[in-house]
Amino acid sequence: MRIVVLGNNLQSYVAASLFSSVGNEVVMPTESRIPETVKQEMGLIDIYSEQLNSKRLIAVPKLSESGFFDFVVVAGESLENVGRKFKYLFSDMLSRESCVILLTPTKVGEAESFNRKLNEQNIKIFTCVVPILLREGRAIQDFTRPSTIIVGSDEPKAHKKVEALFHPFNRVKNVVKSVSTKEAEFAAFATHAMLATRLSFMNEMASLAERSQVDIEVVRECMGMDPRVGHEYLYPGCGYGGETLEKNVEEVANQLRLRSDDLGLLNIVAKINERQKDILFRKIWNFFHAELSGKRIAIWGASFKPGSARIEGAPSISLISSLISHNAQVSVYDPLASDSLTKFFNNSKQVQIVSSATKTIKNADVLAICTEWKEFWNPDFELLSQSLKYRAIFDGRNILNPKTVENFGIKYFGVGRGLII
Amino acid sequence: MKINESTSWKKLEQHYTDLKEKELKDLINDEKRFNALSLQFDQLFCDFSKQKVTEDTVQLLLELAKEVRLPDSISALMQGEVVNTTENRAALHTALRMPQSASLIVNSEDIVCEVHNSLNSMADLVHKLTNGVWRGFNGKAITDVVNLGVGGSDLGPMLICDALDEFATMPNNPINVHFASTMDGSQVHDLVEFLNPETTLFVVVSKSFSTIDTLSNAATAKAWLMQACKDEGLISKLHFIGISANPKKMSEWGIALEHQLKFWDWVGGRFSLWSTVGLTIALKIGMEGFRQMLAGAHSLDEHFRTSPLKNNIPVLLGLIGVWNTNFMRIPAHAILPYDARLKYFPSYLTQLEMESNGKSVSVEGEMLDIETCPVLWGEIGPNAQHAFYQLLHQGTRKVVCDFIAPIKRFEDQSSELEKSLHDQHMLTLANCFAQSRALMLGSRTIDSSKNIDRSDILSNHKYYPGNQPSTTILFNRLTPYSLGQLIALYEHKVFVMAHIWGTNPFDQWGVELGKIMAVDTLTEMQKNEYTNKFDVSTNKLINFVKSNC
Repeated sequence: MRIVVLGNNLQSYVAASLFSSVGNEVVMPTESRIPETVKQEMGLIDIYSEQLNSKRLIAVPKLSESGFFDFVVVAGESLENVGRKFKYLFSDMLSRESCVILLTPTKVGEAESFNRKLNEQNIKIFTCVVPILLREGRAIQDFTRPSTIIVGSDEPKAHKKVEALFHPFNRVKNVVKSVSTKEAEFAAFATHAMLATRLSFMNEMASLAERSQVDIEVVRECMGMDPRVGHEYLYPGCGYGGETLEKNVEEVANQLRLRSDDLGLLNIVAKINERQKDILFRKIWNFFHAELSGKRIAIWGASFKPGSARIEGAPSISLISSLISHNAQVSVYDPLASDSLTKFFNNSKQVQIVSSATKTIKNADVLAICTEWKEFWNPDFELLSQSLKYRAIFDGRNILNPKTVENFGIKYFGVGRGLII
Repeated sequence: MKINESTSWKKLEQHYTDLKEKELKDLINDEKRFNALSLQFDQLFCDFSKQKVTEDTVQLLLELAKEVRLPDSISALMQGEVVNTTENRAALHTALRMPQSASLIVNSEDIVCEVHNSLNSMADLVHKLTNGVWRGFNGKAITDVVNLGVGGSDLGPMLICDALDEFATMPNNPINVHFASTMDGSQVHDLVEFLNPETTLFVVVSKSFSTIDTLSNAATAKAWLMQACKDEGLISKLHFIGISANPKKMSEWGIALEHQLKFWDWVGGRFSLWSTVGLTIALKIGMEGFRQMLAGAHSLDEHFRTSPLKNNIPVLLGLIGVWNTNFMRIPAHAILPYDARLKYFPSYLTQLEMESNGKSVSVEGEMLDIETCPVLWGEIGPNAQHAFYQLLHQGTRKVVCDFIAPIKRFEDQSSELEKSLHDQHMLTLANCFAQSRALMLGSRTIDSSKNIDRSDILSNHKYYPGNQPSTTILFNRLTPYSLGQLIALYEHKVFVMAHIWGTNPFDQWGVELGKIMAVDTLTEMQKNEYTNKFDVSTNKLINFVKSNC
């Protein structure tokens, strides 16, 4: 099948590389540089280069390819831009059976309205929505072995075509669910809203557990054993970040607000998350009795999740900003996010970005953990005990065992566990 | 020489004798009158054509102003001379709104530089509060700020915060502002019912930092906060800002040095909203909005300082005020804003005018034998139409009125809702103009064909004498800038009137006696036994309370 992939993000590179890897001919206009998230995604650049060498994947500066495309896969490019391209480029390159596939819906109903606009211009194609969840750090696995492939289309013929396109990734058991475009979009947003709600709910429980002197981690495990609840997205912590989740929750909250009987559930979900992003700062503030001036705080992890270099909306950013506004010094390490941090804090004298976890704790008063990178799970507690002047760890991801930490004479403050402050 | 013995005063008395038989309706039909008796400056338009004055009256009033050397007095005020003679200090509220580029040297110090330093300190606190940097005792960001002050430390900030609600820097600004002034504790009580001590900060505003009303509210606020956190040091440091001309007293009370905002003894309380006393204003509308308000007031100051007397709006407003008080002998003045956003403006002017000019002693300490400040009150005009306009139209007392209204309001008419709101604005303006016209003309406003039927038993009840004078003040839109101009206009009007009367508008000795007597009264009330220390009436009241407590 002949495919053109539009967009310049992780999704577009994954889709182009992996569709090509299963024998499709793929054209990808690459007008801008390869984004950092693509470079940092384990194994992706290798597959991308392999496919370029195989000539099945062709990266072109501008679309001028003749011949017909079966699919136009859109990931991250605005539909306004795509619409313009259709007007001037694609109309000659598409057959009446061609499909546009939107991988990252931004609104409920956008596929339908996009299709209508194209039809009004006499461009007869089918617009479909396949909202594939790609997690940074696990993007290739997510694409090749998805737990579900929701194919949203308003045309039975298109369902079949898209299912055929995803056939190589639907091997172990059939995970395709065929729905309408609106249903697919709605499901994508509702899923994000649900996940955010679970996280915020668990953070409420963590806050209650703390006050009830109960370890939320034990409660979480018990809850997860109930098949009606399950283990996923039950981790309390210092807040979720990342552009997509926050944006999508906001989009659904906005839609809900338009209803006259909205009680504001998702607004509360977002508010709880904002509060959680502040929780480590508040614990540190209380620990030092509101006197942070001159204190040196070590921070482990800055990206919004492990495996990513991105810091948009990450709790670490709230924490560092609050600390420096109270004249504290910060020493931060993140395996991938150093460049983003340097850019964000614009070489602030109060923020030192270092190249290892060990370096952060030199002369530090306390340690805060913001991202659960694997390398932080089993630290050298002896060294931490010797280095941290106030011997205290604020674990925003509950990755350390409170008892182990306390055995080294270090005070442990988690989210819903450890000492209360 | 007493003012009422001056040549121009005598001329005005004679002029009044010539004019007194005439009614307003007899003056109004002069085509040129409106142009001659209305003035515009920047955002403000003032129409005096519904006052019982002629061009000759204005000329004579200007002669009076010249005779008492008003221009010299304006200059002395602006230059920082000791115009507040009983307290031996300047009254430099105009310096508070001078731009940073200006300079005013008083006693070898550049006042403007000091003013801008204090504005910068205020801006720093505003930044910390509006950006969620300022934290309470347990680390939560402050979300609510309560202004504790009374009189000038309350009325000005409250007026502006309420009037300029549309200019609030929400939603990015998380701060809500509240006000509590009354010594009875009711307002503080109502606020703490719904506020969270973790996220509430109190701004204690008192020029002397000894105002009992404010300090008793602050003590209650502290007691409330300490129910949530026992560490008094932390509470004082993180939940209180002090604004005063008395840093020593602020420190004694426990306000952290870095949270003390200062102003100077040369700023009168009722002229202080332009100083750090306006912190809550800046918290609500942002520093940029606050600076626009200062710029508006400064532009009016420049108009007052530099315009010839005949084109000078505050001068004419003041002179016509003197005319109404001393020649027309009108004892009452109603302030009637036709815009609900200005609902606190009458209360604000009540203090500004009556505390400044409610005097009966001249600057030289002589008892005056002329009338001074009229009784001033007011209400949002359309609401007052259903309250006290009956008295204005048909009562036995003469009352002069100020009608105040914005020209533009609800300008966007792209939806039915907006069109309807715009229609309401037009209806309001129509009422404003109709009322001032009815007050001026009385029953003559009704078509002659519908003239009073004398056989009607109710004819006298339906009779409107008219002949009530008024001024109409219009401004383009209500903005921080135009509101700054409007308030400065009245400040200068008050100064003009005081100067003509020869009184000091910057002291307020009259408020002291009651305060002193309250101290002894409280001591007596706290005793278990009945009192007979005071007059019979007061003793009986105290003892009645004791027997019923």
